[in-house]
Amino acid sequence: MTIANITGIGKNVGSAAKGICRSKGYQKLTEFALENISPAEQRLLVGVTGVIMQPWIDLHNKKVDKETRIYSACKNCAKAFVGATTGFFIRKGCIKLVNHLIDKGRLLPSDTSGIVHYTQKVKNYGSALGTGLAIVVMMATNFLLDAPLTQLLSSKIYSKATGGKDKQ
Amino acid sequence: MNPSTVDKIEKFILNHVDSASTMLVLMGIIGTITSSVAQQIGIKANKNIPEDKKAFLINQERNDCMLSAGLTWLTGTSSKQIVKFFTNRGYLLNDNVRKVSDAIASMNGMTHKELAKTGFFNPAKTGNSLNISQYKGLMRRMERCREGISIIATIGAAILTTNLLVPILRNKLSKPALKSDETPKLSVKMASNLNSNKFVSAYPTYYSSSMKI
Repeated sequence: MTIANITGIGKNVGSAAKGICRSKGYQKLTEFALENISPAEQRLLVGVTGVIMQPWIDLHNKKVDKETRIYSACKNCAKAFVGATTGFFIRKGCIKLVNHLIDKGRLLPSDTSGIVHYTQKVKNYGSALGTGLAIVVMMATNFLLDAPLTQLLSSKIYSKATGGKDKQ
Repeated sequence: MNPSTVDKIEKFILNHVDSASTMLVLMGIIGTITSSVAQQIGIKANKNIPEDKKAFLINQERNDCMLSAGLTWLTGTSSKQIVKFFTNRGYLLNDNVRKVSDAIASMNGMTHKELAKTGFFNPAKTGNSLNISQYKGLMRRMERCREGISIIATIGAAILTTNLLVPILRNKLSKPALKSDETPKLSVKMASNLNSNKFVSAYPTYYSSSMKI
């Protein structure tokens, strides 16, 4: 391959990237992410992809015997699912609660002078305060909800995966 | 709560919420650590899992936690820096920013690249504040665009690390559980050693005392 070919490829990739960046879809995507994706949606997206990807990787772990592979895949599948569900709802609920209080005039930062782009700042402030509250709530729910539900669900998945013959 | 404490918390948050993506990263790390501790307790308490499987699952959980926390922080913060690096040089900008930046560039007889080199008429870089209003307007759009790209990049990085890189690495690092057919083999070997006269003559005291126990 000559240098002319390489630079040719580079130019093509460059112009394709430029085309994507100037497209309406790209603009909509960046605006959508900014307006609609909070830590709650992020947790959901990571969790949903985890439900599919993590068990697949565990089932291909050649370091352990087949039985351990199934145990591990069931546990991680259940963990991803339970974690995504509880994580999403707790984060979403906490952010909504804080934003509601901000709208009512409570919890508003007392000193807002000198803050550029105030609207976005307050939105981020609400999101930050809401996620902070969610951290505190989740410290308890990780133990009271996530862990027991994960064990329960992984047992169910395991018995389904082994045709109900073996009990976990 | 004491009003001064509330003010302090507000001040701290306002100083640290410039970027929603930083919050996403921090949330991910704290959530990972508490969740991992809870899961390890859950596995230990589960009476239905055999002990050898428990050891592997707990080991796997620990490695998962360490790797997730480290890699989430690394990719989360670096993805933000990478986005900043490219947008400051005029790349990855959406049409909303490009419309304004192209207009400014053509008004000043410059190309987009040349404008990017001046930091989009950054007064701190060019030394003149004639275009300060243009610069501020453009930066407002740029900030929104950068924030949007950062969120997408952070999510992409989180999916790749949490669901691909971490499971592969944690499985490689975790001590494998004993295979179900390994225990009997070991017992047979030990039993044959115990029965051999060689072993008894070499370790007579140990042998007799262990037999007593």
